[in-house]
Amino acid sequence: MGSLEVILEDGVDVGRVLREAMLSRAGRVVLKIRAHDAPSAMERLREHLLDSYPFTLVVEVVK
Amino acid sequence: MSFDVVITTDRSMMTNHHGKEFIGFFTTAPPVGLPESIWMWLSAPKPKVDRLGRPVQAPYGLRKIEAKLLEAGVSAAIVDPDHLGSHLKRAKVLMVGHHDYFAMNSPSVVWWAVTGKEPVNRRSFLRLMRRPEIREAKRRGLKIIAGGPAAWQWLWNLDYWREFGVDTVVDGEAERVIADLVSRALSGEELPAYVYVGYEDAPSIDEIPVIRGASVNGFVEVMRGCPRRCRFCPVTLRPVRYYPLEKIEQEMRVNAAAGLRHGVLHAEDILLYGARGIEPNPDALLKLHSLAKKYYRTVAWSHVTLAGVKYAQEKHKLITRITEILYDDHQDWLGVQVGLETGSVRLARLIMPGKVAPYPIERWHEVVEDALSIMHEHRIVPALTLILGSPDEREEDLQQTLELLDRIRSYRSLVVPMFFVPLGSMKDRRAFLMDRLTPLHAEIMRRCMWHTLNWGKEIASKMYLRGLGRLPMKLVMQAFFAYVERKAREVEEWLKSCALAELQQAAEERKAALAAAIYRG
Repeated sequence: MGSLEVILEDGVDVGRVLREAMLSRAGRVVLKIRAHDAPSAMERLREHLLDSYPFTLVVEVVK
Repeated sequence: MSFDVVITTDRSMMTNHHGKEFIGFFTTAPPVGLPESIWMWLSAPKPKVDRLGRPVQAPYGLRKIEAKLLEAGVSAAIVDPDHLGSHLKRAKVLMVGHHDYFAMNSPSVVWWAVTGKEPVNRRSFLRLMRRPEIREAKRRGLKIIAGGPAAWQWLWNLDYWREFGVDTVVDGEAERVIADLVSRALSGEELPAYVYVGYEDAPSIDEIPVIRGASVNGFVEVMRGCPRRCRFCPVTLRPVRYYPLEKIEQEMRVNAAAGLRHGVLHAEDILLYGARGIEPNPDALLKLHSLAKKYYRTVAWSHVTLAGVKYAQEKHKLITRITEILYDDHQDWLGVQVGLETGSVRLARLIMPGKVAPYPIERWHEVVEDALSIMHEHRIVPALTLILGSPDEREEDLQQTLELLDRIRSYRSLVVPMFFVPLGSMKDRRAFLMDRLTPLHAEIMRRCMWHTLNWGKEIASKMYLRGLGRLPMKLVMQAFFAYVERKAREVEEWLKSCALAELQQAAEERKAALAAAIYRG
């Protein structure tokens, strides 16, 4: 299984990205978020995160 | 001697709770009627450490991470929080783990809501992270990685994430990802903010290492995952894996070599060890318990299900056969945590249809009563947990829970109400923070309290704290029970005298304060 890398620009629907990632059969999903720091990036994501992802989700901050 | 990676946690976790894991529950509460320092000593005494400050017994999850890093050739050690100073002068990575960093899990959140006071586990963890030696090391470039079963709580405490300078939060079974992450930290590479380990990255049994040092109270995992698929539980989203007996024995040997004579067998449902689906495997279970008795004088279970107890006994007489193995001159009872969850058949069907299997869900009350009767007869003492505030809960569900509580009054047990926390397949639902508190919830909590107080006194004096050596703790517990009884009567009087509006107003005030404190980020 491959890896999927997504750059989350402002205005992108995070929930939709994650739902589509679930259908992609990727083993690893890397989300790159432009943010001041890690907590700011996670503030954007936290409402959308579930416990049922088959893939490993990696969140990286792009400054 | 120094280590590149230091693994630690706060005092509420780095302790053996006087060799009585149930006493660990007291770290989830605020100090009731006692100064915090005494409360902490009673619930979480300092452990024995070696000359480098490494605890003889450490939390099992931390032991797994330590073993995985050692296996990968990383210089790593678990260090007691009181001995961090000298190690952090040289360490490059600090790893912290916890099962309830910010007291957002039940029962911490229940005690917090009911008393309005912060539980000691949260206070202890915040004190740890604010230690000058950690701040100083952080200024020098120390990387901090947080993980464990409560990793999700960092997402709702972003101010603390920022204040403590946490670099990465790892959520999920970490065996496959942790060595790579740490090696990146050690070589100075940029770390990801967050790693969630999906179920397809759950480690195989071969990838899970054997612990290198003793675990708290001889805790040994015998399986991971659970086939019962309760919707509120994240563990059931992982594949089911059984440790072979040889691997379990290796860990028991590590504990025995450290002088431990008591052990806890950990599984979400211990009677499913080696099972095919939910069909118990008598041979595997009998061998597992015989093995445990070879290394430990006394053995406890972490969790079992009520349907599992009833079925295993009715079909294979397994409860009788297992207790025959366990009970001897050293042990004549067994403690375990059990999810009662609800008395409502309707709600059970929605949130935990597999928990009653192989019985039909309509027989839930009968299953509960039969299982508790079997446990009572075999001196197995369950700490039953009950979920209040499930998202789809109705008044009729709470009525059925009250009926069930009445039916189980005569069975030796503790009943602990827990507020619903959104996890597992219900992660997108709303947490219960007393904002929907009704008189029926209050009545359930009242009945649980008296059930637990009445049975708790007997269990503490006749089973849990027997013998002269336990006398000081026994006296403290008696004083504690007397204090709680007095307080409970005061609360009851208040509940009787106040109208519903006043109750809800009080809940609303607590909710606002609690929500602000918990969801701080």
